[in-house]
Amino acid sequence: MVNLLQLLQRGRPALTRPDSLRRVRVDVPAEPPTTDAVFLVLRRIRTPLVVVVSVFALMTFGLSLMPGTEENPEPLSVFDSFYVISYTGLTIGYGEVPHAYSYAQRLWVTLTIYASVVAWSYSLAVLLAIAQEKTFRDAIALQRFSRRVRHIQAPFVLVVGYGQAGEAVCRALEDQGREFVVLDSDPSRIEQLALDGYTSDIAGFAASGRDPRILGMAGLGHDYCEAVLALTDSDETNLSIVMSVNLLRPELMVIARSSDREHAQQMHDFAADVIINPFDRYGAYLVMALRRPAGFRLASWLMSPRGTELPHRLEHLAEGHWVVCADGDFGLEVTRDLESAGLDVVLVDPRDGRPDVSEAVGFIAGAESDITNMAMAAHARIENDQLFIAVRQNSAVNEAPLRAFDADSVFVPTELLAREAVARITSPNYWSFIDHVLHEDDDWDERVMQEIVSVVGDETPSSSRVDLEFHQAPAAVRWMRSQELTVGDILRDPDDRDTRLAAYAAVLVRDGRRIFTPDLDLPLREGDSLLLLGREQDLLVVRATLFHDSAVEYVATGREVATAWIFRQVQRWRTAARRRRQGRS
Amino acid sequence: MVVRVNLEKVVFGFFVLLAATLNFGYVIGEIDDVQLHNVYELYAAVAVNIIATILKFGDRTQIGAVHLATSLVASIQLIIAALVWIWASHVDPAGLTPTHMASVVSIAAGALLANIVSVILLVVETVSYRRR
Repeated sequence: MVNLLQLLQRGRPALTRPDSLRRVRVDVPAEPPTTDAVFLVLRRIRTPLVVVVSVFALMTFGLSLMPGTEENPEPLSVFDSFYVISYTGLTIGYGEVPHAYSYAQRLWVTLTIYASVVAWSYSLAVLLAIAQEKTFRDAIALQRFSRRVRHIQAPFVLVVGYGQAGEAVCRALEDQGREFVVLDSDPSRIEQLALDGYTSDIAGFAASGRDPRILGMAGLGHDYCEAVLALTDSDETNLSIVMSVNLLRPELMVIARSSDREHAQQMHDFAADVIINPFDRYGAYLVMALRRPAGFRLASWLMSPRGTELPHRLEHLAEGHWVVCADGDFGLEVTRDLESAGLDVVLVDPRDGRPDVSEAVGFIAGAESDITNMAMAAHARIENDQLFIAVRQNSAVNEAPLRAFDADSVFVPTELLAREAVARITSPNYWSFIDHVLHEDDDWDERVMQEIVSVVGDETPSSSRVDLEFHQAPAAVRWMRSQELTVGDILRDPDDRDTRLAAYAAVLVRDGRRIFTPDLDLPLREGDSLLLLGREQDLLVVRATLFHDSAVEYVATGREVATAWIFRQVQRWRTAARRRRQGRS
Repeated sequence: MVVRVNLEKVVFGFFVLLAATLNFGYVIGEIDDVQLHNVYELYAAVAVNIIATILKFGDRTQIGAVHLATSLVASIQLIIAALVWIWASHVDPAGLTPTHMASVVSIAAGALLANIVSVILLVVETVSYRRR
């Protein structure tokens, strides 16, 4: 029996997904595994508080019994005693109130001073000890983190694993102005997160993503969570994240990293949207660079961080005999890709010494040690300087020497991973465009690349989605109800319609179907959605145009129209009057 | 079978009961007779009730939460009663009149009700306690 209350979801309705393995809807757990910090403190301060209260109670009672002086023989009343003990016990000391004391009373007050100081110091020591304790601090940190995540008010991405790939993804997300939450099992990496100089304070917590409760606290159950990225070094952890998301929030997008086929297959069973195995992808990209250079250039340009220049065509790349010198999975994956492309490949183990490359056209140094790779690449270049040399770079530390070596291609597994992940979560349409580029023939890619570069320049463009519906484009929708508005029109500069803005229409989504690189003369319709590539500022101009009736009319027809309604009425009236006059004459 | 006495439960039960008995002792007698309501008894009731409240801190069970609530009610009522007493005997020029006494005792009687609930909870908890 389904619990009806659970169907009343807050926020967006969950998309149903046919490939989810979920049978029963279960709420995402968000209960912290450790005890609440407040309860922890309350339990621990019971004894010190009881000690303080008892000392005060006893001392007040005693003082109210002590006989007074000859002038004032009555002892102090209970309230007077409480007053005196309060200020004496807190070591404030106002003197003898309401009148001078007898010796018995003074003796009792002296006792009070010592007893209360002991009681206070004991309580303070206990409190300080609690504040120092690791469990308490962890509990506080966890509570603070979960409160921050709960209060996020914008769509965000949950990034699990803050290694090189995680960091690259976070940078790209920040560049796109998106929010994200970071989890990593290594506390030093989370501390690094605070020092890495992001423009805003990033919510991060040191815990393993294997625990679904931790995932829940990090926002898996949050209405605004858009996607989960499992980028840890461990395939098993990534698999467990994919499982948790598929079973608890199947409508979310999951991108996972995997370095072996068995785990990748298991992730497929749990319907991960994307499984990126950088080893596997590299070979495919290399083959693409060889066979379809334009497609490779365009795709890798679009996947680069914003502002990256269009990459050069890879030189020296040729069909023929290839030598791959690698250990582990990487060698097998690359060899398999190159072989299936019909190349003649030899796989050698780096332990067998320097390979013979005199007959080869390409050499891939793919060992797990950067030093070995550099040494092999250097030897290969000495032996055969026409060789295409690809070097695998495992650690960011060795970036500078490798750049100086200037290999034809440098394979950084984490970077490739981050680029693909970011391109996919940027927007579904953006990825669909890249995917289209990857599968079109090379002439098409070449032509599109020229078109984009001629419009937006040779730095990687930003992307923006424009929905032609009433809330985002009211003026355009009003205009389209009676007149025609083409794709080219909205890309015109509203100050001078003969100038084309630095914006390129990459994808037009109409009735759920995608039209790639739509013609500029194509008339738009209400409900269409456009993916634009271009300079940030020009994209903002396009969005602004769609809001103003006068701007839309100007870009569509060239007529200058007043902005204010009253002036438009005057204009219309004057045009009509002019026509009448012309008609008469 | 050796049944070990839980010291924490002993202390807890002691204070809860003592709070109720002291409160009862103070309240009993003609409501407006100043002679029948000793201020030390009120004082002791306030002090013991505060300690009983502190002892209930940090219990995360449902019954623990209700315990804490009843104790807080009792403590607050007794503190208010003490404040009224202080006002009557030290501030008001007329001194501690039977009218004042009646209001002090009636507030303390309210606290007694909360304390009785506390004791009932304690009994319920003890009866339903099973050692497996």
